[in-house]
Amino acid sequence: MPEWSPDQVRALAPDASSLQAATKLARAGGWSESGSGGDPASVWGLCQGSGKSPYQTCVDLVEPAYRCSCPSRKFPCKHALALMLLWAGGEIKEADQPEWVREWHQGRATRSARKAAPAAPRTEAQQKAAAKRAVARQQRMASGVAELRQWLADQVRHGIAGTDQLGYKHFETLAARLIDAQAPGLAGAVQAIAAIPSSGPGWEERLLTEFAMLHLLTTAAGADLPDELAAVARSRLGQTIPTEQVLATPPVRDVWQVIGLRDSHEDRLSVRRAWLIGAGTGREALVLSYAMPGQALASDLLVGQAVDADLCFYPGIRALVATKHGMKFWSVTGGGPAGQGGGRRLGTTVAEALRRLTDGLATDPWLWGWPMLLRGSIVPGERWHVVDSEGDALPLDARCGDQWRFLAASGGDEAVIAAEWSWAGLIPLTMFVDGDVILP
Amino acid sequence: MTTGEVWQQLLSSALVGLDKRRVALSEVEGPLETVLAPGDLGPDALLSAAAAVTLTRRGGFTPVKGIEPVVAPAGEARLAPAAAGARLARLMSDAEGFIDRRTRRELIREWLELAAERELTAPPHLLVALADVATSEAALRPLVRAAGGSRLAWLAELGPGRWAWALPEAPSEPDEREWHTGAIEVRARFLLACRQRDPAHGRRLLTESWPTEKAVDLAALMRACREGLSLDDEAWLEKALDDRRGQVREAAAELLAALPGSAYRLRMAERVLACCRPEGDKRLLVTPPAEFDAGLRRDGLTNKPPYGMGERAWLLLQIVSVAPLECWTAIDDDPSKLLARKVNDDWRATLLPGWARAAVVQADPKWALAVYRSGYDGAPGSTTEIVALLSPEDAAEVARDAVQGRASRMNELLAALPRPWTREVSEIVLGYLSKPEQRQRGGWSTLTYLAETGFSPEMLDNVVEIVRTCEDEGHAAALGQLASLLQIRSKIRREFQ
Repeated sequence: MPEWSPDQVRALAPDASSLQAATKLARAGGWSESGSGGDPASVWGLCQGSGKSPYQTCVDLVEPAYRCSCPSRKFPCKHALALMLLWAGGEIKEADQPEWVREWHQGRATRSARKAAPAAPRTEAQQKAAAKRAVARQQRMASGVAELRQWLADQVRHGIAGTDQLGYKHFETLAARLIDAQAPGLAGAVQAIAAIPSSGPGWEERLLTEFAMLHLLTTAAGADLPDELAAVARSRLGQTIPTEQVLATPPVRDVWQVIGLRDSHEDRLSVRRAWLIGAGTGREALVLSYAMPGQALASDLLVGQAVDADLCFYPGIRALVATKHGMKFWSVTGGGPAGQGGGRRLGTTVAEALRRLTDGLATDPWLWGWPMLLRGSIVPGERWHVVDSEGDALPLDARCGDQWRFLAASGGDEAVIAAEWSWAGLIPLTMFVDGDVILP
Repeated sequence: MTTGEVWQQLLSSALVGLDKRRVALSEVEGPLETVLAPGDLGPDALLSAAAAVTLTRRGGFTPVKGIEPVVAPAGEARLAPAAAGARLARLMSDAEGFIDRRTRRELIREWLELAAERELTAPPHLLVALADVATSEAALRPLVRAAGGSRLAWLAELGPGRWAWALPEAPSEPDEREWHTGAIEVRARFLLACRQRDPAHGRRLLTESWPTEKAVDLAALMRACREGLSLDDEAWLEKALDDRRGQVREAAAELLAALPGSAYRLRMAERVLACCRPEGDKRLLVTPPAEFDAGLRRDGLTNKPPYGMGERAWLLLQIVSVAPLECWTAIDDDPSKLLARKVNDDWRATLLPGWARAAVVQADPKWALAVYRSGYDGAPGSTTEIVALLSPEDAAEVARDAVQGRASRMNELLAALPRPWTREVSEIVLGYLSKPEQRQRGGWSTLTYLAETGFSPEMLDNVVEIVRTCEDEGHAAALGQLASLLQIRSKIRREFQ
């Protein structure tokens, strides 16, 4: 019994033309020796292409991971997509995994074991050199921090009222100097606020807020802070944390519910933010993925899905998916598999969500957004709101426009609404109503 | 001072600059009491205080109170089955990317029709997208309204004005206040409802308010009186023909032309027969009106021909377009006999569009057939209107001739016939498509394309049978595409069960 719907499969397509080709392939027949099942749960088949021998296509449904002997460099290729479409449509029977499928799984397991093997320990000389580099970096960073701190003080000393007349250049000059000082994190933060003076009424207040938070960061850079807060500050300052180091932290296993996705573009790079909430722990997580121009964003976390997985956290809310133990579709009414938060009523009150936000801010005062899974009604008006059964309401972010689709879907009744809380209000991401996953 | 007051101080100093306006905090109350000490602040301290205020506000956000949910009335209608709903979602979001726009729209229409037949509603989360489709495509509105049920009406009341067409029908007990104070659309709707039950009352209301109405509103209100139109209305409409406002005269002429037995229609019949006289059995002698007289002007005609047409031809065209079709029996019992007559000079080119227009406005299937058969090749869209009037038997007969004739005209006809085609028409088309040699003729691919939505899905087996037995590979492949679309359509049907 397939656990994915055809829509969920379609969401995996890297682009529209792949999906089109896959839909045709799935309709055309021409598949042989197909089957599904085994461990890890897979679906496989042979597809007659233009060549002599048919393509071998196999999908590991847990990761998901794809293998196809076709020459396409798209991922997943049309054959893998077509196969999954057939499977999701219930047209592929359970069977034992054939030899070639088992071989592929074994090969992957060996490769990932080799990758996971610890690198050779560093020699003493290497360690020394690394330590020296770290000190040099620290010094450059400190000078960047000092420069920013001085600049911020100058702004409030001379007054920020005219900043909207100065244009981006005012910020760009500083950002360039911070990049020279090898403080890319600070440079990025400065660039991110460059648009505020041209963002319409109330910009002065928003700009002072951001200046103040940057100032706080420069204060944190030189302060003696508790470990966790210090780590958060370092990462906000732009210190990169190697993936291995994150993966070495104790994993948090839970059924992670993917409550919403938000894509944006930074510097030609596409960024996908996946907001997760643990069904058992209630813990929030943010998984980022990046794509270069022309590449498709990672699609292994689908909205409405619950992944039984180990997550490893960066300082703060950001996390990595370390190991997946399975992939199930999250039924909103059920609220995840039994024993792992199943049967629980999904969504929290506004008060509970705000309480968790306060905790989040205590860990990372520089948060720019926070996921909320609310049980409430969406209310139209001059300003839209989400109101819960206690009568507590949160305004929607005016920038995200009217949410007629969500209002239509819920009829104004109570529903589970996933949203990102920005300081300007809620940005609704997903609504779960009557077992449907609805996007704006 | 409160947190809010602290913030105002910080902000006003930061705005003009600390050099010009210093910040002096007094005793701070609230959560920041122990954080901010009273006294003068330097730039760093100002920014630190601003950060403290920011975090206090972010971490201590107070929920808004007094917001009440706005809940839709409980719907009585049944929702379409989940599989059907998911299909519509895919059609709307273009997730089945392989279908072109026109086909997609046809499939959406088909979905809506199937839902309407079963009195089922569309998934609520699709209503906004459906409403927007129907806002730009008025022909879909009745179907979208049906599929939207009470939820859509509720949404239209709250939503942006562009969905006003989806507002619930005027309440069964019309409220006369609407008539006096409402916007023109509301008033026209009220008048229409009023005319449905009591035409005389509606007439009275309009006559009373007549002197104060603007011309454009009057025209709209008069058109609402088409409902319940009878000879009792003739007097005021004739009076309206004397109005000095063109829009009012035009509306009056329109209504009188649609009123059986009106003096207006008699006048037009007299005029048209004065212009066209039979000469024996085979010829028709046409003499258009010589001049644009006051009578013609009063009856709503104009003397401003469209570009490229002479004034006399224009007058003739207008008269023929509005004259009651039954008046032609004075010359020939059967329209096809009349249309076969030879006409002097080039007047036939003027008569034909006039007859076509009259056939459409007066919805006359017999005339529609005669006009179509005469080879009428009118303005875009007018063929569709003519063909839509044909009776199923006539349509089949015309189609049978069409597949023997010019491919472009065949496709024009088949594109215009209401879909799905009748069994007879479908079989004629299938017969044509089954012959591989037809593929060499022009228009073949257009025809298979039309058949994708023209055939009823029950034809799937027949098409598959041709594909199976066909020896020409190219032919089979071309029909395979048709088969796969019919497959989708029959799936759509099954999903409703």
